[in-house]
Amino acid sequence: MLQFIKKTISAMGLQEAENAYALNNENWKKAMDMYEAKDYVKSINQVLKYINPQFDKVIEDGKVCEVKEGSSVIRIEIKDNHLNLRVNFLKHDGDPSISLLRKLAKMNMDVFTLSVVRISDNDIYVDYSDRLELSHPMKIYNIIDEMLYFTDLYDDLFVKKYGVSLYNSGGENNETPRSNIDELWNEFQANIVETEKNLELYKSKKYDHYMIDPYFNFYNKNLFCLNPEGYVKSVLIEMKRTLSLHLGPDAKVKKLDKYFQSLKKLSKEEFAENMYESLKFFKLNGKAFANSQQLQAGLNYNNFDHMHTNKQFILNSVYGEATVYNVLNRYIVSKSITKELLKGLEKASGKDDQKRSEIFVDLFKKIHTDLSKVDHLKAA
Amino acid sequence: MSNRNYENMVVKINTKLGTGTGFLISENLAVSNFHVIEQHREVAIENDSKERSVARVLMTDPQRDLALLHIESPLNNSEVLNLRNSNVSTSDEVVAVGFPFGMPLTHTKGVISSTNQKVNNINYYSIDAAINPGNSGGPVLDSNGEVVGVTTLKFNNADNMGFALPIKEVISMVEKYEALKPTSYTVLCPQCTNSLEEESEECHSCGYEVNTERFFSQTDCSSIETLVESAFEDMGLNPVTTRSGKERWNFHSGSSEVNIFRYRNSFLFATSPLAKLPLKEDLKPVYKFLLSYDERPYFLSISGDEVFLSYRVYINDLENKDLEETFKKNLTGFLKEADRLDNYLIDNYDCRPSMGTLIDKLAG
Repeated sequence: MLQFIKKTISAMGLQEAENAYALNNENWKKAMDMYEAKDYVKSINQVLKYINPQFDKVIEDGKVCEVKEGSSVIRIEIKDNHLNLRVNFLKHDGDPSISLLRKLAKMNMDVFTLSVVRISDNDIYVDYSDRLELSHPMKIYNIIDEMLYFTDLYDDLFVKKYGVSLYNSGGENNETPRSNIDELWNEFQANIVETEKNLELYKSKKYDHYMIDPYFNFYNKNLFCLNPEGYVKSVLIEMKRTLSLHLGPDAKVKKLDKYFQSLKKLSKEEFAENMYESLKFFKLNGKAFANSQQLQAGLNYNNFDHMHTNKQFILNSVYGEATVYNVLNRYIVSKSITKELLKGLEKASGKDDQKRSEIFVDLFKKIHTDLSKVDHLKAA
Repeated sequence: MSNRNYENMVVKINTKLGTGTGFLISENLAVSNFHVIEQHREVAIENDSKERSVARVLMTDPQRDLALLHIESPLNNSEVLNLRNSNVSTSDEVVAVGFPFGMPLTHTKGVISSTNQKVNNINYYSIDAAINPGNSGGPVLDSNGEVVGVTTLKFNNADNMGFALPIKEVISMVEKYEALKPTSYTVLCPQCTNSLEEESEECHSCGYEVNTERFFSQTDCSSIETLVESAFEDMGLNPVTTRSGKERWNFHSGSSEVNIFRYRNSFLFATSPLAKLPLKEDLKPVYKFLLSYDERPYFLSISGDEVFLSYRVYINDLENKDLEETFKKNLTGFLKEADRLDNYLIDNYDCRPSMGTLIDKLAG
């Protein structure tokens, strides 16, 4: 399993992301400087380079730039002193289902802030438009983030549930099937078996208040190790979003289990459809640079120490592993911290719960202490 | 226990810092707690029909946590409560009336569990009726509907342990008010109850050292509040009647309820619950209308079973002075659009009035 994790990390190009860090900071500073100098078009171009340092198109006044983002298309236009952004992500046959329409109308209240989902004769899209001088880099970054993150999150779910089609379905959509489907499928199945085992164990131990933890580990581990796309990714992200809903713990567990069961019943062929490499403009999708305090809060060493002292080894064992994956999923962390986290997983692999708990406490304490000494990563 | 309704006698008090309760003791005079109106010279009173009027704070007694408010234009159908002259006894049934958490008017029953509870050297009645934030300043009524006290305090970590200031303190304050007839903000000295009409570090009558910060300070407007409220003034609205807490406004534009508030520190949201979805099977036409509506910068959405109109602004954009007029224009447009669209949805899509809709102000 550890070999699998190491390979996954290598495939995800963390080194590349770390190299991009310095460049990104430079691009961000330039974007801010240009905005302050009221050179709004250049500032917008720098924000796009901040999002993706390899982005090589230039946005010009009066011209439209289209960028493929998986099966969606981002349309960027500067016209009449306005920045217009539009993400086309779904197509409908002119008569979309009533459930989809309601879901979309709810998204305008619950999901989007400054962008708005709309329908036209055959398209479903999210758009934003405002005056150029109101294109503060942070605002534009956040708008692009929400537009791309949520369209990517929901497109496959809507296709599966409501019979609409992807905007670029069947055409050239920058998707390359993964070559190691058998290996990914075995890993996925192993994660399901482990989660079911943990759920049974938690029930037998009456850990009612912690029933969320095995699901927390399941989705974080799968998101990190399998790096899925499509429906599998959407369901895993929905599991993640469930944790922040205003629901009681029992209702959350029920919802999480519903998602878990929907993934468990996937056939190998259905699973394989979601395992592809997708060339994306929005490279940081879902991840953020973090400063020391954010990482320390993410690892929450004090809580693990407290639980270990109270001999809650099983809880620490499961939640410790989930915490490592969660930090790697949420943040772009330095190579040295990634190595520490990996080393911790390696040491914990195959050990009993008490030993695993001890390993995770030591691991988080060391990183917590190191971070207190040096601010590894400044917030972007 | 009387089954009277008190919606014309008990009012919600809206301020820049939150909401509370008050009650009418004459056509132009309302009673509340000092802590409800603290740092304000003007507040808005609101009846159960959502009608609002400006009330000026004319006399306060910070020591006893009381305030008397002069209502500039009496609300429609307002009625006054009688103040009880006789003593009360332990176990007397009472009802506390107020607006907990700013919600609609509630009556909670209980008994007087003690007539002699001392808190900070002030005598209170302790009552076991449920009291929550927002009830402060509301009346505690006896079985004849007469006021026996003012809901003032509660213990947080106790079961239904609330405290009402005995009504004799209100009667005493009203007598001072009648004698002085103040026309501007006046504070009663905690020591000698002499009136302090101007900010002063000491009471001229007894030498009491006055807490000027607490007794005389006024809350400041944030830059966002200044901008939003100047837009209201341009529209002919009195900002005092729109406030519902810190950087939060709630009022009606014609028939439509409007809420404006800061969201996640980064955004200013204006939103209006226009109408409830129709009670029929095919809602496709209304959903299609919501998703193809293109009157920018406004947009439509659904939450629960209600249709909302929204206008959202990135807070940093408001730092740009050149764009203030655009913002004001958009906000004015939002109020007009909200007032128009509730009718449109009801007339064209069989939508139903929202909970906040003022039915008598719906056109047609």
